[in-house]
Amino acid sequence: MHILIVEDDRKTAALLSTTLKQEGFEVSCATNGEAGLKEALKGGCDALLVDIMLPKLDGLSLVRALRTQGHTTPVIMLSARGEVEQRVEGLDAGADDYLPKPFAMSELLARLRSLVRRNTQLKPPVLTLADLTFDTIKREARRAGKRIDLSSRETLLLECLMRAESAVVSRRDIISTVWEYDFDPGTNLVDVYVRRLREKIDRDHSPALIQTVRGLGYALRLQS
Amino acid sequence: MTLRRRILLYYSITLSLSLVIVGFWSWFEFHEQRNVALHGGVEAAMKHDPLLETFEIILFGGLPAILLGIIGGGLLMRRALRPIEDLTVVLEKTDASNLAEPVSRSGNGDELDRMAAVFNGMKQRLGVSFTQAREFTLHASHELKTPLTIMHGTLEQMLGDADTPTAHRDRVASMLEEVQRLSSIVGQLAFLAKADAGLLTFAHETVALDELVRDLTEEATMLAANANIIVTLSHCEPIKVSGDRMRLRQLLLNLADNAVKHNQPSGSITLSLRSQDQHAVFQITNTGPVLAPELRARVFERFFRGDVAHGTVVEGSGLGLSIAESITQAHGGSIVMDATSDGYTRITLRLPLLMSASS
Repeated sequence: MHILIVEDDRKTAALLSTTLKQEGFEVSCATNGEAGLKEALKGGCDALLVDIMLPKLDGLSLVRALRTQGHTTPVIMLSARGEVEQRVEGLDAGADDYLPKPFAMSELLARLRSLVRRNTQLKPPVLTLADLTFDTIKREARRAGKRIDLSSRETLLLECLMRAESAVVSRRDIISTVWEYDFDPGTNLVDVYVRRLREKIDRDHSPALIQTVRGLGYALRLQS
Repeated sequence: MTLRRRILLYYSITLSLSLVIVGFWSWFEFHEQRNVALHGGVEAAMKHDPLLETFEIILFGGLPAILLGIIGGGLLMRRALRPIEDLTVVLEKTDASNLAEPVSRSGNGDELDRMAAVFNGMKQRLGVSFTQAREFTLHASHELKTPLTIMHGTLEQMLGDADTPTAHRDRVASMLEEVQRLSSIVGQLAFLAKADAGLLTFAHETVALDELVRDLTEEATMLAANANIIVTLSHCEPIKVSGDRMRLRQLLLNLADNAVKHNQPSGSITLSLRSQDQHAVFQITNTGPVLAPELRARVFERFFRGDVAHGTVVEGSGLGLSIAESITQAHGGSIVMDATSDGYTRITLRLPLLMSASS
């Protein structure tokens, strides 16, 4: 997996690069739009991380140029300007995803993983972790074979955690997948719903599967 | 011509005209007197009483002159003062939202035209400082985002690093939470700064407000469960409004969040939605302490924290209700806080109903 980072802020680029390397990605960097486009057109990278504000050629123009030349490499746009219009603009230009700053590295990794997955294989209809199963078609959860009654939000929340495959999911990602909010609700909505889900999934069973990763979010996994 | 000269000129013309009228009447009287003397002799002339003649001059010459003076002077004053009235109307309407619109000028270079020019200059300078303050917030919030990303990422790495001693993990996690809180405040500030600058685009879709309110009731119930607060939806009519679904959800959630945070343990929250006078009226009442009437309008101010001296510590940035107000205004609605007759805090949100073409 080769990722091209196009980012003019040196520190951000360094942070992205070390994080991605730790996760086993190969990384190359470009510090302006023109160099980034040149590098991307050479081919050989599997995904691009592109900042919107770039010297010489801005991120949106870069993606547009890339798409008009027929390259379908997945692109995630990064931007400090954030919010909805920018997101729409980015996706219109041909980006596959949009991540507003400030973002967590865990969010970036989750987006990257799902992009790569989208491009490779389909998910199985039944997700499984230990004795917990979730049927994505029947929208039904079972633990140790016993059906668990979940509200629609709780079902979405469980699906969101299971699809992350043991990775930590940030509150912001949960908010955007489960509630489809594009804003920060400023409440502990996520924590309240996770607590309720935990009661239904983990109270009568062991091991406990829903884990709180302090400062980062939640993960559904077996205790390591 | 200056206003002073113009008034002087009009005044002189009026006086001159009055003089002409008085003069004409005097001439007429003297002329008549001469004719009488010529034809009837001195005796006939003696019959004319000078007092009566003077009275006639006053009545037929002086009175019209006075009337002319009063009417002419009145018109004159009105004309001279009209620019002041125009300016007053504009001044009354001036607020932060229309600083860019200049006052119309007569262009004749008089005192009032100069005053309008000075006022336009002041408006412009005010507008510039307003824009600067706005842009400052907007730029500051943008500039903070990159460092926040770096801080967040670095702290995440520290948490993920096996070399980080367990003793430090807790501190790192705590810092991470603070970085997230800061990010959230910066995001809210950026939202408000954009809204002020008119940079936010709102969708105009048909939104079933009753559905949003039902969803909200479920969420509020969950949020309130911890503090044993009971949430009831007392009334909910099917109501459609035109607006941005996402922003309206944000608005409602902010109101519910406020009602939970400023409530008492084991209190209650009542929501209702009804239509009234072409408006959707959403009310949310909570059993929290009631603010003094003079403070109620201020809850929508940024970072307003209620009664600081007696206030209990409430989590949150203090921007939620400002955002709610900003979204309401963008939808052409209004939002107020008041108290119910039984002493609870109530927020009333009014949004214009969707005008459907069919009904």
